[in-house]
Amino acid sequence: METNHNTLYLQNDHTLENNLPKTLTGIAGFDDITFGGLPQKRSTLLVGSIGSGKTFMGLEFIINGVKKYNESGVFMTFEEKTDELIDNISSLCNNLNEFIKEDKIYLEHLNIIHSEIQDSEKFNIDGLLLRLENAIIKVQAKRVVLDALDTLFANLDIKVLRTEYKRLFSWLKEKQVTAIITAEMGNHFLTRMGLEEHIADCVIELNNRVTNQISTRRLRIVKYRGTHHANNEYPFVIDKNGMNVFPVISIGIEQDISSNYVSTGINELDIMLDNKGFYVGSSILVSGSAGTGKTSMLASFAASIGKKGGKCLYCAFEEAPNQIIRNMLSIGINLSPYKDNNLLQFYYARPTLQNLELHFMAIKEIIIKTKPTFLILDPVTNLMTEGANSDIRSMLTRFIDYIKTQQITVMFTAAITIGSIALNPSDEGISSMVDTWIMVEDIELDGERYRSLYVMKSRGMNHSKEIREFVITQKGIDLLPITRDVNGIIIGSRRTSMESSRELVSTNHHKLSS
Amino acid sequence: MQINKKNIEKYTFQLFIVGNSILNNAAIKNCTVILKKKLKDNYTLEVIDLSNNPTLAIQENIILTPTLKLKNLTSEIRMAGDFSNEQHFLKHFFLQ
Repeated sequence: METNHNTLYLQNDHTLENNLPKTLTGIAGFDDITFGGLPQKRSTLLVGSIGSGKTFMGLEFIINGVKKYNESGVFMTFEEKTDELIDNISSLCNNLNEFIKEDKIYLEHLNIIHSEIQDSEKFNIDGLLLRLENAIIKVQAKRVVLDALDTLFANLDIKVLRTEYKRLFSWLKEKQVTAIITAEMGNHFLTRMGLEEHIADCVIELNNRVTNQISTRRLRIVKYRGTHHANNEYPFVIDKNGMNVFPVISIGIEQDISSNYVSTGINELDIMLDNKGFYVGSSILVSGSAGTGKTSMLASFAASIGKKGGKCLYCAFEEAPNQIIRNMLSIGINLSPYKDNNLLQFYYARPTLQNLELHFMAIKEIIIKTKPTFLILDPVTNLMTEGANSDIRSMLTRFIDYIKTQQITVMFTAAITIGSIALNPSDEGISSMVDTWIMVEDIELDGERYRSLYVMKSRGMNHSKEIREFVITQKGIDLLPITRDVNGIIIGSRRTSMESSRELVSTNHHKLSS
Repeated sequence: MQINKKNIEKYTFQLFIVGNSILNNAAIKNCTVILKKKLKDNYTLEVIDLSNNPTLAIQENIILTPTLKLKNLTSEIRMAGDFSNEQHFLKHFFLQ
């Protein structure tokens, strides 16, 4: 499923790319940022600190080779015992043992006994190469991973290390295999000797940083000989489905743009939006302070989708689904029939449960499985408690971009008001990722609070610039015009009193004329 | 680890190499010289070329070559190198 969308980008990038052959890793997102995967029949050095996911990435590369591309692979590890490795990877691939039996994957643990190594001695890694060659021939491998090579080289003399390291790389090139060599990042290994710069055709760095008590895994392509590559740090997650890198997708170029509309579910609001509604596949932000009726608006949108038989995924980060259903009943919106026939699905999780990437992964998984055409996130500002703010925004942008490429209309709420933007100007940055921004605000008048609504922006349509009164009644949401007279704006109880006095005048007039 | 010399009737050495190279030849030559000097005839040295037998390389867990293995009933001592330093060699195999 993911490969489908991967190939979409690859095709688009072919014009930019020279003809360096590449091997798809099958790792979601990674093939996007490298424009096709790892350099074919060459070696890639994968460095990173402890627990940054090097072994996992290597294993997934081998397993995907068998599963997706019919290429067998050799995985040699200097660190973990093979049976431990099979256990650790069982969530990703539970039939690894079968692959081994069928000679599609060759797994071997190379146990280095450091006591046999004497500093002053001359020796080489012929033993390793012999075993590697034996393995490559046995499964006819196209892919090779050497895991934790630093363990082998840790005790070696620098001269031996240099020559043998170079020999290993050229040997692998000779064998025409696409290889990943993983090594721990350390001052005592590669970086100090500058080896990686000269020898590997591609260097990838993984790290696992903790900011504000939230740990985020990141991937960076340090070097990729002979091709252009994206060189940002990309967040990634490792979950039961494997590794997932989040690319920044430039929308607009890649995205199919729809000029169809979908009703907002509120008749008056449709009229404000050029008499049409939202564009299909656009992103809509409803913002306002607490208690302004943002969730009610989402619910009314969800109900109108359900009525038309559309599929909608509602991600609630604040209220439990049942609570939302109960509360919305009080304003005459009944969501339960749509929930019962699976048109409306809920994803409910406390933001603190896990980091943002994992939330988005979980949502993405549901999207792939059930293919909804509408997505609701309520509210995204809750997610911002997790992690540094700029990280969250870039992650959200990636996610919204992904949603849009899937032609899903996404509507989300945020507790952003004009006041909060003044306090925290970076909040306005969220605007760049939304196509339509609806602002709900409080107005205080005559000792009462009223809600007002206006369309702050709506890309590609002539929307109304009017401020409307936003009323939530037992029959749902309605928008009333706000008029003015000599006393100021007429809203709420002022309108009621004026309307009744008008009625009085007209009945009196009626009486007089009769 | 200390080996009681009296318990060993004859030292059994195995030298694992891959193919033919200057390094391998040097290793064979050096260890033969040292062993002959130190142990006279009280040893056997078997040179094993693994290139025809990769399975043995896995069994014996050979990664670096040349590797010399001293085998007796209870334990084994291994060392990788070309054995150019006699003192290191003797110390490593407890032959001093």
